[in-house]
Amino acid sequence: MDRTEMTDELIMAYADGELGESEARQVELAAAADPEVQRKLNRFTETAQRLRAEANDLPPVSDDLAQRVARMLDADGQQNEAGAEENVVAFKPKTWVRYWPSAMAASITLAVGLAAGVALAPSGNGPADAPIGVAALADPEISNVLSTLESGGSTVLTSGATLNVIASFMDANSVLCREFDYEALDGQSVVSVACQEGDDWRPKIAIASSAETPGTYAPASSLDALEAWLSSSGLSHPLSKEDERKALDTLAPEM
Amino acid sequence: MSDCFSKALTEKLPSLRRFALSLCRNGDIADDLVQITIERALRARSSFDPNSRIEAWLFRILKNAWIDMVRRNRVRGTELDVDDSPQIAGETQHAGDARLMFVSVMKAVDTLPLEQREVLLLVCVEELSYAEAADVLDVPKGTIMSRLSRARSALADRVGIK
Repeated sequence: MDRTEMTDELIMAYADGELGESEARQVELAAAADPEVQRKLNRFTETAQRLRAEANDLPPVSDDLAQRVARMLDADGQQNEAGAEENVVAFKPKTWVRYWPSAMAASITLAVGLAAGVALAPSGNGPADAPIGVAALADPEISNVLSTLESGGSTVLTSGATLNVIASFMDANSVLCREFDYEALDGQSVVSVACQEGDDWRPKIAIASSAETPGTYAPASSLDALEAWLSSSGLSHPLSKEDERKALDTLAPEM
Repeated sequence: MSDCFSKALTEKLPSLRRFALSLCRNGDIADDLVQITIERALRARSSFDPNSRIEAWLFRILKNAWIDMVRRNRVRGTELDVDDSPQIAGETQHAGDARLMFVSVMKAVDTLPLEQREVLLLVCVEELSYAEAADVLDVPKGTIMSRLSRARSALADRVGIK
């Protein structure tokens, strides 16, 4: 082949200054010889120029967002200050410190007592009052739903709360775990992961989101924490529909 | 309390928000995405390579946050979709029609599929290199080039560049 083929990509890369000298030379020669190449080159150049020209009109960042971010940066700055002088030096890689930013700490109830505490009993009488926060996980109906409902499904419990099953996971010891979201009538919502233990489902982590934003996202940072927890527990990859079905089918028969 | 890192984050807010908007096309969700991005950036600060451009690193965090959000909301049945189609009322049906002209290039960008919007934003607006964009979007450079070239051709048609 005596001549590089003038693909659109190559012509564009020239327009964007992405080519080395010899390739660039080839495009220049081709453009001089072939009006079609020249036309394409103009198109690529002009699209970029017009985009860049309009790009200067950045949509403004709302005061609300600016303040949210300023608070996070403030909290972060204080954390750094307490520990070291290094926050003066830009971009200096620090040794990894595990900490929850204070904004996150405020928005999360990490249910540390769960492993020993609440078990999701498979049956029984519903609680008199709809429980709130992490205590909501004591609702005995949850267990039955987790043993049967497939991910993506949701159901309304006797308490009026909605249970959305988000995903299923299998941990390294082949224990089935399920991520779900429990929304009480008052907008309180708990995202939790519970794993099989005997006939019970035992919550391993629970994140209570505030009632201020019913029907919207849990605080951004709390979902983040959940992701981190999932991956650290070897539960990064949800089961497929079929695998989930199989896993649910093998559970103890309904009582 | 602003060291250079925080300052850089603050300065990049408008760009981050624009990229977020190009992904989700919803102001509130874009704000949430930017907030998540800043939170993750602060926590992952030690993994930032000071020899690279901070915006590329931030865009990558933002894109991943968006994927997480879509994944989570897909199972909850709300309407976010990574592979969404153009949804600008009235213009959608004619999006492929060369006779329909857009005055604003940015408006025309909105009619393109997500994978073209994001690469246009990163390369032509934010001026990332192909390699940087490939890193942000986690696809090979060749894919960046083919998407970008298709996006630019479609865009040229829609704004009447011959």
